[in-house]
Amino acid sequence: MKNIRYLPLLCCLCWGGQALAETQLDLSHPAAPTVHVEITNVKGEVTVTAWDRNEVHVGGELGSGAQPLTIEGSENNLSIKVQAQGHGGWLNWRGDNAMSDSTLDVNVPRGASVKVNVVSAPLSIDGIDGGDIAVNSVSGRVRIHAQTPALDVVTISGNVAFSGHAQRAKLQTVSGDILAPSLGQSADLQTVSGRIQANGGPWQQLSLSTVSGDVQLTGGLADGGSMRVDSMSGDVQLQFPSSLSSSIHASTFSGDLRSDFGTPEQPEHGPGSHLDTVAGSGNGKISIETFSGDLRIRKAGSDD
Amino acid sequence: MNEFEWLRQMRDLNQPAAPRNDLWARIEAELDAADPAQPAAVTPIRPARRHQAWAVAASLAAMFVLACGIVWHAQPIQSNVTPALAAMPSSHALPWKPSDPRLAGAAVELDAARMELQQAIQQAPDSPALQRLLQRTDAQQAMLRELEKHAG
Repeated sequence: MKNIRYLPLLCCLCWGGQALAETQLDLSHPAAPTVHVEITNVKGEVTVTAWDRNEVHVGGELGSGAQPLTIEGSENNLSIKVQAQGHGGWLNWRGDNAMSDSTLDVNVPRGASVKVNVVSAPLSIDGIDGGDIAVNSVSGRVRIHAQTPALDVVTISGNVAFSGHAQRAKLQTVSGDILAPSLGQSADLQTVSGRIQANGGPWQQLSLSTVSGDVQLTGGLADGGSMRVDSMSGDVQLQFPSSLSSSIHASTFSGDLRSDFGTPEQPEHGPGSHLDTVAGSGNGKISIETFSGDLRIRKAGSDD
Repeated sequence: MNEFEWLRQMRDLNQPAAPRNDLWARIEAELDAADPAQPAAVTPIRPARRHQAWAVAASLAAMFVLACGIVWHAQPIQSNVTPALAAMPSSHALPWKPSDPRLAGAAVELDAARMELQQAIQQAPDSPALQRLLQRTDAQQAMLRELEKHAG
């Protein structure tokens, strides 16, 4: 029992040792305005911020147990990878466990393209304008504010929030939610059980699929555009502008279907209903199908 | 009576005792007097046993025929209902248990989704949306399996 008096001291020493083991980062590398930067960090945090310099800078802290960090590559193609000592690979359970969190604050040129691989590290990308963005994440949440021609995000359980504008967007999760209020011409949204809330358009092509997650989608269809929504048990709520010009085919096997465009038909016996109608001059094509999820198609500005 | 006397009486009982009426002599005499042309009193039992054996064999044969019929009917139904599943590699039918704990939750989620989709497809076999969802779920699982290969 006498030794217990040394416990606070031991805790302080452990904490202090850990703090000392983390390395402050201050690395720079010249870069082209449209440089491609690949960043890998397993745990901790990654923040990518665009700036008006032709330079890549890495600040933050490198966790203990990580290999010394360097910015590798040429002005057009740079790589920043946090790796555990003695263990290779991006997703390495034993190696990752032996390493403490690393925090990376990365500055890149505004027109840079970035590819980020994280496992359980939250990721923020802010200010990219013109470059492509690709993200692979396992459980960390992903927040992106950017103007990009191509956005490709794959997460497992992390939520995805995107603002800004993406001409082409592919967002995919297993259980993470997708929040994307400003999707551009083309979008492909997939989830198993996450919730999807997306706005934007007018879409030339939109594909959305969910197994059990609910969907809320607001936007218009471009002239001749097409949209397809598949859901098993997730409820789907779509809102189109009153100027919509498209054929609409919607059906549900056992859910409830209500629409401000056309009148759904129900079979004489049994559940389910379907809708085949044309809005405006019918230039586009909308196809929506649910198995047991409820389906609501609304016209913007209509009550209820 | 004390305990010793009681024990002694018990020991005395352990002697051979002759029955008051010995029935054996009479039984033997009646057996000898019986007609040797009708030897077995148990013969009527035999046909009953034979019938019982035939009944068991017939039941087994009927069960076999019934089982064959069920299997024969079930196979074409399964292949009609889930053509996508039939074409699937057998490894996909097994629950996926990744060694990396960070992927375990997703594995459970994807397996549950596949099971629900398969049940839904059995109810609505003509739904292209369900087939697409199943394909996408399988693609996601395949992607995670690939990711697991990088796990230590």
